[in-house]
Amino acid sequence: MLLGLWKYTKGYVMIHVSGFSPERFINLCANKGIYIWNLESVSRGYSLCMSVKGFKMIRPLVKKTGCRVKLVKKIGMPFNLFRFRKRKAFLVGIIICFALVFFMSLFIWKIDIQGNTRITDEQITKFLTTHAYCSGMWKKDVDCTGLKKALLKQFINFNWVSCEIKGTKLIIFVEEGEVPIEIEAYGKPCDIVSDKNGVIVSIVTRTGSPQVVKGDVVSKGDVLVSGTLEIKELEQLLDVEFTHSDADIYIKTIYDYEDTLNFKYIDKVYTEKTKKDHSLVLFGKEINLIKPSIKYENYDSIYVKEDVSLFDNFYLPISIIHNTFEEYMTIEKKYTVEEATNLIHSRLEREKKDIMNENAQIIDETIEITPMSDKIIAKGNIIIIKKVGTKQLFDVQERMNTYHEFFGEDNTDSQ
Amino acid sequence: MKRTKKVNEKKFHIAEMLEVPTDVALGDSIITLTGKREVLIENYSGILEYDDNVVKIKTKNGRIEMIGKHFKIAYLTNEEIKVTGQISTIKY
Repeated sequence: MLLGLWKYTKGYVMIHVSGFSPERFINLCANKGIYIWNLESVSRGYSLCMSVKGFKMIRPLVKKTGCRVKLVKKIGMPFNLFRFRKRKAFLVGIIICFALVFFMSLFIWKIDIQGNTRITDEQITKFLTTHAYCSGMWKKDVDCTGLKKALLKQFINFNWVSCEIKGTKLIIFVEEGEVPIEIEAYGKPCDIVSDKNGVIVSIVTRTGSPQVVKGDVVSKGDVLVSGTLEIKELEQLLDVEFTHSDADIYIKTIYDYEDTLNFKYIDKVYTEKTKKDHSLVLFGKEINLIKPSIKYENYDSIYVKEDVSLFDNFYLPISIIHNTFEEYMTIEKKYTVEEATNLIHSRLEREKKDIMNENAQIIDETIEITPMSDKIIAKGNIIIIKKVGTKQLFDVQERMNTYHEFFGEDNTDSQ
Repeated sequence: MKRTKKVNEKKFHIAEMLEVPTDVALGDSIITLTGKREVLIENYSGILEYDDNVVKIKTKNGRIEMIGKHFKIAYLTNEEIKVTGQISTIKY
């Protein structure tokens, strides 16, 4: 097949040889190094194929052998092109086509973002657009290293970014990592404040002075560990220091739970009736030739955009949009009591799982499920043990003022 | 004729002794048959006769005659020739 293509592009002729001894002519051709194929014996002679180059060489051989050679057919691209030489528009068309393909290849037509799991494509595309990276930009304007740096700067949890241009596609590959933990300002003094109401179950203080003990009832906003260290000797205040308090405090707290479920619900039933719409997008402009009229009352619209590429990586500013409309009917349904109970139980289980995921421990739960005429209610509370405490920085100067007497003396001493 | 035969025999012996392939040493032709449809002859020197039913090919050490039907020559260069058709006889 490849050989056939080669022969076609180079052009070949089919000739008819007749006369006294065509065999001798063929032998001479072979000796001259002319490739001959499809040799057939026909009435009064042979018909054979040879390349154009060979055909130009056979004149002396014909004279020598006294054969008669008749050109039967010219086959191949050079002959076709020769035939088309007067069709100027055709030539112009070919040139324009190539020029257009070349011109198109100077732009970026598709930005492919890979490897992102937490940050959506939209977020990255939005960022890229603000930095003038969008489809349709000049390829030479792409600064891969600069883009890498900008992306790493913008999105903190990107560990590694690579940018690459393949054809008309800009591939951005990102490797996401953990968000770097904010370094706590251990140097700054702070208190630990409760963020929930409850009873203290255990308190382990590393730094700071604890304000509560096990069994104390605390409410939201209470100071659990103070950052003020009063150094006393026999009730006499010797020194006051301010530290960054640090403690593990667990409290028992009540988690209110309430959930209602109506027996009535609306279900989607697809009617299997669909309509399809296709439209073409050229340079970002949508052209929709056939717009089907949709008389469905309720429908889902499924939108699929397909980018057209000439080769694997040669994307063009053309895309096709397939829009499918699926009709559905809304039907009002009713749960039976049993179904509703199951459903509400599963919701409760899910809620409990969420609580457990937050490093809390469930120790007791009292939840009543009461079915009513039109709905079912789950109400009650879950008792959990949970770590509490948020650090609250305070102003040292302000705190100092409360020990006015102590510091006041100190100040006079220094003066 | 006798002399050339003698020379050839000597050449053959030398070639056998040195374990040189005879097609290289003596210019013997190699005939590759594919079923009975195709025959490829290497080291030939020319076509003596060719038509639909007979192909006679000259080689350095004699001639090869093939009889059959619908003979066509797929291609020929100055070293090899490929004949297709229905071969019934090959004679030396």
